[in-house]
Amino acid sequence: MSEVDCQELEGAIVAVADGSASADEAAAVRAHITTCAACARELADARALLAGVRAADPPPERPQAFWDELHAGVMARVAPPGRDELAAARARKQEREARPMGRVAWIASAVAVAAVIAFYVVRMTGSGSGSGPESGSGLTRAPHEEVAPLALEEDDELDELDQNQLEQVDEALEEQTGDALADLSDIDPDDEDDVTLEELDESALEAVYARLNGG
Amino acid sequence: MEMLVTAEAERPPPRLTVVEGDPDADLVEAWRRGDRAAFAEIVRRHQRGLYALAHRYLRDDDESKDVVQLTFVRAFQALGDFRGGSQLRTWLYRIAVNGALNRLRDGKAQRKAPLEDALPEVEREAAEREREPRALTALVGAEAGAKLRAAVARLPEKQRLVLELRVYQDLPFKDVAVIAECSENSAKVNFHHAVKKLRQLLSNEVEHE
Repeated sequence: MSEVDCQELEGAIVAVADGSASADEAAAVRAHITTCAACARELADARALLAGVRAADPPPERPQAFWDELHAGVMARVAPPGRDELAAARARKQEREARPMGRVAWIASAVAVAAVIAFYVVRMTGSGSGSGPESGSGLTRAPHEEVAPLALEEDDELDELDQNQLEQVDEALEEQTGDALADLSDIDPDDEDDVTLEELDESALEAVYARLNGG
Repeated sequence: MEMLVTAEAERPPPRLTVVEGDPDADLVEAWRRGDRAAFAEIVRRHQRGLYALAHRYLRDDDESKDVVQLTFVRAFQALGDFRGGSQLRTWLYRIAVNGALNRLRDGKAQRKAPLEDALPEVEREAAEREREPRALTALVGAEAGAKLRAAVARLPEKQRLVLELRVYQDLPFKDVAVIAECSENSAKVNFHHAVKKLRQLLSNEVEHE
């Protein structure tokens, strides 16, 4: 067997020793080593070497507690971010909802009151511009008896209102309730330390009531 | 290998697609659907192999454990990027190898080659010397594993990586190539060179005794 053949088979010999040789490689090596003592030794050496390497550095043995700790460490590090915070926030929300009149309900009520006030002011101011002495008398008149419910899709009453009057009403409302509504918009419902409705200036709303009632 | 380390330092984990025959395929799919229990099982399956791999580089319990945990964390975070075409195990090993090498490069851990001083600095001459295969066989059989481990630690990085993945992790060359970022043929050539180099080192060791 020539030296060239031996060199060509070097890779195949290692592959056979490693167990990764193809069928063709394995056949060629088998045939070759029957007549080449040097390559037969190469194969034996390679096998011994790889077996020795494998045995020289076995996987580290660790107690089960070690693996449990490693596992727990991984799972803790991939926990959904803010999970605890979300749970706490959820608990706070449930607590608020359980109250007879939670803060959010107060806020909603206040907004609703403001909207109703605005509605009646607009209607009364609008109708008072030319419909008699009762104009501007505010809530002393039962609006539902004289004024059809506001249905913008069905009639154009709003369009008939004097724009100047509307602006005046807006200004009055802004002046009286502006601070309170601004505070409302800033409230963070999830923040217990944030401003509460009790802290708002309710005198602003009372002033609007009084004014509408002729006060 | 240095290129591998440098390139990976700035890169997210490679993408992974569940390939046919992957024993973790069902778990990966469940994991993709957000099943944390599936991820927990993946960790359970692979933590030992990853730890052994990292430990061969770092030779330090805490450092190796940290690399394993970071490997899983990175894998978890990259869930949405699963593309590519390798098995989950291969993907995890690649992240772990790069994590261990980066740690060595950053100096967080010093590679501890066991009995590294046991081998003299004669690699160049050894390549030119006549080898005595019988002496090598005798060394492998008679000596403790320390000298073999030291010899493996002295291999060029890529040769060492390929050899360790093949011998210790039992990975096919196809997967070794993915982790080492080379072709399958290149992985085989590196493996062949690693074996040759080890024989040179060990033969020379025998001659000096």
